[in-house]
Amino acid sequence: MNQAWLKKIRVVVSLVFLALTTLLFVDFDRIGETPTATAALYPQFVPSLLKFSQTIAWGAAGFLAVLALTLLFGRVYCSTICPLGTLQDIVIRVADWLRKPRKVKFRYQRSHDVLRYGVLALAVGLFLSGSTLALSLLDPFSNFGRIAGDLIRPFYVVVHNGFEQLLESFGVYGPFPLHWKAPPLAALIFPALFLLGLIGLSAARGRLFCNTLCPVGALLGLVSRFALFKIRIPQDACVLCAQCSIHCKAGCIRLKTKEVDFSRCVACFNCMTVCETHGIGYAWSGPVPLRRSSPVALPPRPSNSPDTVHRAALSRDGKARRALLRAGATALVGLASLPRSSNVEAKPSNRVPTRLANAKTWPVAPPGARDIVRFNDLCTACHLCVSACPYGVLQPSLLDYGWSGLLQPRLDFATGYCSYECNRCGQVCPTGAILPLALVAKQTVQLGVAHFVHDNCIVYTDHTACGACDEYCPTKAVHMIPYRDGLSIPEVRPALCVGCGACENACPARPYRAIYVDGHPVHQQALRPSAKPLEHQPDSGFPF
Amino acid sequence: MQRRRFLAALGVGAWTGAGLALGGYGRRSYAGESLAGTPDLVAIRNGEPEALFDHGIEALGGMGRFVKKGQKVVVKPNIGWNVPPERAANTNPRLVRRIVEHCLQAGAKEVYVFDHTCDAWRDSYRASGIEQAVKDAGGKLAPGNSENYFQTVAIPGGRRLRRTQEHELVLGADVFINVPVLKSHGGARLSVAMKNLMGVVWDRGEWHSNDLHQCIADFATYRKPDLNVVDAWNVMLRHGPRGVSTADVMNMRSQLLSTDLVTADAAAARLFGLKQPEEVGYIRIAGEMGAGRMDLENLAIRRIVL
Repeated sequence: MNQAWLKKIRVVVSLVFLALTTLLFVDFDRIGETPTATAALYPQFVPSLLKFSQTIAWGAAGFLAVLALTLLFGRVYCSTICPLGTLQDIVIRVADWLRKPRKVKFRYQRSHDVLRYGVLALAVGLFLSGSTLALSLLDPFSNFGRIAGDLIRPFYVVVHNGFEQLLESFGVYGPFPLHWKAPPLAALIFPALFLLGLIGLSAARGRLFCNTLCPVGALLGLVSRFALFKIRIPQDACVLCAQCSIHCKAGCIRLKTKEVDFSRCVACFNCMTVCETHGIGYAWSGPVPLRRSSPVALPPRPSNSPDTVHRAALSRDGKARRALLRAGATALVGLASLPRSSNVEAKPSNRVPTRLANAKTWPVAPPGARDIVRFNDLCTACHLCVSACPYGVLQPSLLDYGWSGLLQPRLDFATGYCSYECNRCGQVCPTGAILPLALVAKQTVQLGVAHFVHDNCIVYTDHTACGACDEYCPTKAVHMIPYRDGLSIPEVRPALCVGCGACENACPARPYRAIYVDGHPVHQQALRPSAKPLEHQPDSGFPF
Repeated sequence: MQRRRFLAALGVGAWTGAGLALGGYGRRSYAGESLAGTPDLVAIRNGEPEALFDHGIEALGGMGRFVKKGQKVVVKPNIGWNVPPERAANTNPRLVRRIVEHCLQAGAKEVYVFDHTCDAWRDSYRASGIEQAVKDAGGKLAPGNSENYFQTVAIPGGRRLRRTQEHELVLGADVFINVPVLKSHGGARLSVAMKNLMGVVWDRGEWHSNDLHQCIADFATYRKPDLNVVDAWNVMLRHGPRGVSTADVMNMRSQLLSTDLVTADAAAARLFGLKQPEEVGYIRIAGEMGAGRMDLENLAIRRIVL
């Protein structure tokens, strides 16, 4: 039975998924609203599972389809849907070209069950105890997102804008320039190290990551033990040419026993294309008992009902944890602050440099996060929202949320502000950590509150007019009141403030701004600005 | 694609023709108001944005006075904010469209429209309705939100602003038409013609932290648009420049046209309800520095009520 055609399908499908996911992360503005592109996110396992735990909606049930597929044919997911899998396949292919011709590519590798199921248990355990840290760091989709969004996107933007400049030199204003607001450089260290490690690992050992550190690989591996169809070596057809084993990226074909460890097979179908007798392939394989320990139960989903007791408990844990971690984090402040070029703001154009530092106690979480603890418990830091944010305000954090929120996005008002007319992050968040909010609802969510520092204000220090904060404020929570000598100075009405940070972003005072937003640990409701009729109206004539 | 463009062009042509005929463009005379030469300021009330401009520009000598055949025209409306036209935070798209049409009719080779927006350019261009208006009129929308487009220029007469980065389109234009919307402004008191020019420079924060009024006036001594058209059809009387809701807006159905941007601002200040234009710091300073004339009582003003 020749099933070599399966590989062709696999390659095409995987490239489609890879292309769509990559485009979403590098150029969201161009394809983010096309249903085909966003459909590529639907079956991504971890995001879909998390989102389902929040919404219990079929719109978020992609992971169930993946489980069903795995029960039928094994880990097809790993070689088609998973963009990180395909990225590794590309690395493997390139390494293949560079390899000396006759060197054996792969050979059987022993199974690292303790490691891979240990990682799975850790990820599930930590998640249930309220931390997505392990999931964040190891989930393949989120890692791919950070590679594409944080590392590839800047290059894409440079090439895109270079092309744009070229056209413009011929007088054509065609594709308008894209924007990339640099995140703190330290936030790029993790994805960069991860990518380097992944390249090294896959070039040398194929899909070893997928069978050791990947929690999705481990989970689907458990499920694929029960697959109805498995790849098998028919004892009589095999001539021991060893081609299948040499080409097996997962190193799961053992020639000695002519066995395929299907729990590690990533269903790339390479074996089928190289088998001299076209022997190896899928065969019916009804449910069989496990050889070793009983299967680990699927992780129960956390309740999504508004269980206040549960949340209070989480919140308490979170606080204690945060306090502890904060202490540890203090030691890392040097690391966190050193590479933050965007925070240096050393060149004041105001004559009198400002002197009062902004006393921020909480980071500002995106609208739809509801509260920081809930957000930290669900976000896997894939950074799709960072790529999609048209205002460049969402940026990867370092330890702003503590360790459990490592790399999760926060609003950085040095790079942008949260547009009053935008609710895109909630629409795109694949895990439901940022819940989708209707624009009208989002416009009264108070992420934090603006604080005015009188002694830093240009109007006070330089005695000249400014009003940049008032200019940008969408609700007039920041407004100008009379000051000396006909000047006016800002005042904050906290009840109207939505914490969008437009004032902080616009404030020209340096090195410390004269207005800043301090985040709320639990988002609050702002008043909707009233639409009182105009007090006075100019008369209708020519007053000159 | 070509067919669609052709049909669109046909539509624009027909629409314009009809508009011109209905509005009596080119036929109306202003007996009794005639002044020697062209007026310094045209103030016109009580009409739709298109009609106001049709008659206003005629009173100023017609678009042919400003735009010659084959010239490159740059139109600079206010497209600062990601809000719909009825909020009047941006220049009315109907006026922008009409101006582009007039430029093309006068023989302009190309008409560019751009702004260095405050909110994200993509959102602002779209929400303001100006993106569609420019496409419909046959103009070209250009981006203003990348530092690459801006070149450093010296402001010889500037007191605080000695140099700044100005958009290359303005530097390379044969004709530069400034089309601000009249509105209140928290920091600068009013936003009109001079304030609108903050959208042709790159670093606005520098102006804010370096004596805003002086910087606005400094720039007005350097960059003098060939024509200023103040959109006062819908006027945001409070909460400017962004505004909170349509309750901030009054439908004043007016327009001011002048070749002098200080004159335009001074008249706009009066129209807005200020007793003296000098109440606005940058108008006073610009007048003192000789960037233009704000002594309305000594100027030739043509007042038109439709």
